[in-house]
Amino acid sequence: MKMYYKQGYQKKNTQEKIIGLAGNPNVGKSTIFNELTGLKQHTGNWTGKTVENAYGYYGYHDTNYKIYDLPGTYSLITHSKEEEHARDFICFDHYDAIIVVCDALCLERNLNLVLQILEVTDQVVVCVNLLDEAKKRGIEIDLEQLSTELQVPVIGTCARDKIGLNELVKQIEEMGKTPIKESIQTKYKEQIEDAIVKVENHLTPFFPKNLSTRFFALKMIENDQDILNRLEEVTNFRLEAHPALSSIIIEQREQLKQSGILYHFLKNDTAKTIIHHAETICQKVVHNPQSNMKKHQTLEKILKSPWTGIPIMLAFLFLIFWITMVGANYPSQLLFQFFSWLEQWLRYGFELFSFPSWITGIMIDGAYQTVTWVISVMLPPMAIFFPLFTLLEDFGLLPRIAFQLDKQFAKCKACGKQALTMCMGFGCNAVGVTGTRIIDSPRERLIAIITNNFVPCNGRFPTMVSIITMFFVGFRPGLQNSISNALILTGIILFGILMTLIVSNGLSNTILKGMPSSFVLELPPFRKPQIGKVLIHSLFNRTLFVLGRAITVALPAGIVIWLLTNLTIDGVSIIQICADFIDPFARMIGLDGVILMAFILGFPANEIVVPIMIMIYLSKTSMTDISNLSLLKQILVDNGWTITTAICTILFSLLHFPCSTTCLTIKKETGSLKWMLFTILLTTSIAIMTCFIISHLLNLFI
Amino acid sequence: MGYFTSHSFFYTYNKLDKMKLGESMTLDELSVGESAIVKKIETDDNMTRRFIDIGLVEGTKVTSLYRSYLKDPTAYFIRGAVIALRKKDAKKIYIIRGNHEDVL
Ligand SMILES: Nc1nc2c(ncn2[C@@H]2O[C@H](COP(=O)(O)OP(=O)(O)OP(=O)(O)O)[C@@H](O)[C@H]2O)c(=O)[nH]1
Ligand SMILES: [Mg+2]
Repeated sequence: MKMYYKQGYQKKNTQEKIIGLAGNPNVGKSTIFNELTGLKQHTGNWTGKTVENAYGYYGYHDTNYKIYDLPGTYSLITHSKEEEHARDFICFDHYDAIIVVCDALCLERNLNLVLQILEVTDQVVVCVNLLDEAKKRGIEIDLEQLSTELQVPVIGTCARDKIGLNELVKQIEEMGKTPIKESIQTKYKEQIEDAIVKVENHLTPFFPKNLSTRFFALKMIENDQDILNRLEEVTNFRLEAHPALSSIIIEQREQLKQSGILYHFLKNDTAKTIIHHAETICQKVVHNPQSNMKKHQTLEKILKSPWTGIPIMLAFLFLIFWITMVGANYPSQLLFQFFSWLEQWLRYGFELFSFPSWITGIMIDGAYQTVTWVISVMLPPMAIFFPLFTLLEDFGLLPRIAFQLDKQFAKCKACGKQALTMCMGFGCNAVGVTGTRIIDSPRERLIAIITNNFVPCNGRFPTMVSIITMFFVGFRPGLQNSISNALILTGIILFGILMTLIVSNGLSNTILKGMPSSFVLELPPFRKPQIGKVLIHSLFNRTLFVLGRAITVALPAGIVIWLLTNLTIDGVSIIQICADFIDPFARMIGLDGVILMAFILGFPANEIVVPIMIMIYLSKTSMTDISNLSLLKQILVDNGWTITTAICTILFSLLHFPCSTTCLTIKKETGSLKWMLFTILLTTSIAIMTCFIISHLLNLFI
Repeated sequence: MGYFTSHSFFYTYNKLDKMKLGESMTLDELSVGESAIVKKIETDDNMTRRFIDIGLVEGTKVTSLYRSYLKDPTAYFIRGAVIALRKKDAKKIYIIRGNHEDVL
């Protein structure tokens, strides 16, 4: 289908307009955004995928449209961090239009938000998305009627198939040209309307022109501190500065009280009126609303049963790991071989130009080897794991995991949505930490932030995979080996989950005391993932991500570490001196000085931990070239590695302090250095204790 | 009882065990597959707001769909969406049970 708009910023265009994409969570806002702008915002079949505003451009005729993808929100009264972003944009920002995206499957609830937004602005286009799914369930929506009811334009779309987007874009252009009609307003009880009008009349003369007087008059009567504070921040408007207005508000509250309406409860009262208004509209607009859920529940039935639910989820986890390990093995070997072949030629070239040996050292032993290690070890597993994971995410499995595990988290006085943020942690702990914004209660959110690190991220997961491959089952191919590899990995991940629960519980009973707060989780319908698109897109994404990290982090780190291993004092390298110094302590927890040193130096990025180890070990031998994992194993074994060392290294990697990026994110999200330091301290002591216990236990038996 | 059609009344009547039709109870007591109308919500302000967000107010029809494998939380069908609520929270929602065989 031909699209009439152009994705991205169009240089030749003369005007610029600003558009916001608002709506309930998981209705396809990011999907529409991506289609319009050509950007790649993450989408996923669960509520709370987008937690930060993002913007992009598309061009249509002679105008550039700057479009904001807002986090999903159920209402303008916010509970959690990410909803605040959306509310602030809608209530306070300057924009030319807001597209309110609605889910056709539950239009009624979505209309709530539409009606609330219509109180704030008339510049609204309603976009009813997911029409394909509605059709499949026999739900019919009369869009024209809806437009008449709301007095704003309504466009039906199916964003995934790009249907309706042309009309949407056209409609937005139209809005800029014709004067905007006044939209429908929800009418409250007469007394409330009276009060609003009185306050509004006094407010209008000095209130900022672009803000809705009706909306803020109501908020003032309701005494919605949250939004009034925000108003002050944005516009410097303080109620206290207008005594006349304040006294009118108080007078109106008194009036309301006489007719039995307390202003404390006004908020809920008005919200309910809106809900009923939405209900009335829906009765006229939606035909055959879905009342039968039977058809869609076979899978849920399987998942919910104790005998099938948990085993199936574990099997999923195991299967993903198994495919990852089996699939990554061969490409990894190929990459190793290729890079070592290339290395010979590079060395040859360097010799040809007779570069001094330190240049060869920095460039090849330092930079080149670290970068190629990161690529050969990290890339294949990640390029397999992530597309699979994204498929499950798109399918809608993540909220089900949160649903099934919630009881466990509730027992630890934490929130089931923590499971969702843990899933994000697999990609990157920093993303997981940001993702905790979907958790309402600050206490539970902190717990989720502190424990997120117990899920191995992109940088640690492949390290574990390679150590497991080297030390536990060996390299012999074969079904049995790969299965036991995957089982061990599953065990380690489960151990991480167990630690998360234990630590969450510990925190809830000590410094983060409190009761579990409430929990409202939406379970979206299972959706058939767009397999081809997801696979290619996330493969591409992850490859870029890993390669990007290899260049930006591993390359400089490789150079620095090489210098540290080769600058010597009395014939011993600086790094060796440090390693020797911490060696006795490291041995107590089943590691050695070099491993611990590598973890410390790996603070900027977990990817470089193993390359650092190798470099230090290698600086003691004459061998420089590692063309495959079995050679590497030989080096490790020569340096005293045993199975205990391997286990402790994996455990330490799983539990130790978060990487620098994650730490900074923790600081940003909690707004305090204290929590960041606390997280580092806590995770590290847990890692040390666990390794200490495990290594001593193992030494008893081995 | 404007909520229930005569057909579903008989249906319920035949199935009635110890609980009477229209008996008041809390949402967590609603068995899987049954529907009810919310009569009253007694919870703190924050939670009330969350409920209002998802359209769960007095007069809303709720159907219990399924429980998690540990029996808590439970998924409910509310205004076209499937929403999971914990038992603790569902306890604060008073309902009048009715049985709509068209729901499950
Ligand atoms: N069948 C169908 N699925 C769609 C359509 N539009 C979006 N989806 C799917 O709906 C899910 C949610 O889409 P997102 O774009 O992530 O939703 P969002 O509104 O940005 O969600 P939050 O960021 O959580 O607020 C994804 O799995 C999409 O693939 C559509 O028109 N038809
Ligand atoms: Mg989104």
